[in-house]
Amino acid sequence: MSRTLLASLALAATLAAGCAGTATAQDPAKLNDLEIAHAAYVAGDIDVRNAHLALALSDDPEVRKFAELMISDHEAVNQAALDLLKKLKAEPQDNAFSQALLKGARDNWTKMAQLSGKEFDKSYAANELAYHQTVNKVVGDAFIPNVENGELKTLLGSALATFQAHEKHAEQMVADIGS
Amino acid sequence: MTPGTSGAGSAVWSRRHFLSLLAMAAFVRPANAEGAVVEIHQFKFVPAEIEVAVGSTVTFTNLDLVPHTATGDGFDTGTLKKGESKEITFSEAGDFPYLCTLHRHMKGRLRVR
Repeated sequence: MSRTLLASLALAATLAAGCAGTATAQDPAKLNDLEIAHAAYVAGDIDVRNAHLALALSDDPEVRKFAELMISDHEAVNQAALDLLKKLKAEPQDNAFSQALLKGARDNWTKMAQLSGKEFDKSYAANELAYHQTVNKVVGDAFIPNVENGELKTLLGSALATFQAHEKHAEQMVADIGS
Repeated sequence: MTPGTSGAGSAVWSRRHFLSLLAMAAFVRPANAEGAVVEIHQFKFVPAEIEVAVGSTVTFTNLDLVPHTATGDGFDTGTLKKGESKEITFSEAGDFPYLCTLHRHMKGRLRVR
């Protein structure tokens, strides 16, 4: 089984099962607006931290360029989310789904930090593809249909367009780096 | 009735004539004679292809959350954050394919005639 598929399945399992909290909070389709905002922010922040790990460990120009783009794009999306929450005078709510995301990410960072060279590059590329595939599915199938605030729904739509572009880019990076 | 003749009716006609001529002038003037706008929205250049007259100024405006560029042979908007615009004047005829250097699948084409 490919590393990409393994990473995808592992993350999907993490997202589906969660690691703590109530059953309600673990189901992304049952989060309230403020929990969705929190989870979306955490998902973006995780990829920024993935990118910083790549910049620390990779010498591959394509990997580094992708990582820099992830930092720039996800920080822009997250800033837009913070601006909207400020406008709405709302505070994002931590929840078990966000915690599951973070736990999966921390486990992944521990493994990734042990790698170097081509092995790291391949793992980073595969993980980025799997991560964006999974997050895009959650945002598109669970967050957007269920969020109630219109402005947050619009923001998530724009964010999804961004993450879908990243998914395509990650596909290309996986193909370019090879197996 | 000849435009410009005296009398109240003529004055009304003249105003209408003037306004309709003004409207016609606005309508028939090529949209790109003085300037054109390319919006960047949902990771696309809109319109993706545009033709402008030599000497026209094209305004690129980024409506996306994330930064983009419009970069082609001999021109570059630089990085445009959300809501930012850049005007570029095209003084020579030619075809100018361009892309976003940050998201290289985003492509557009300008034709300067």
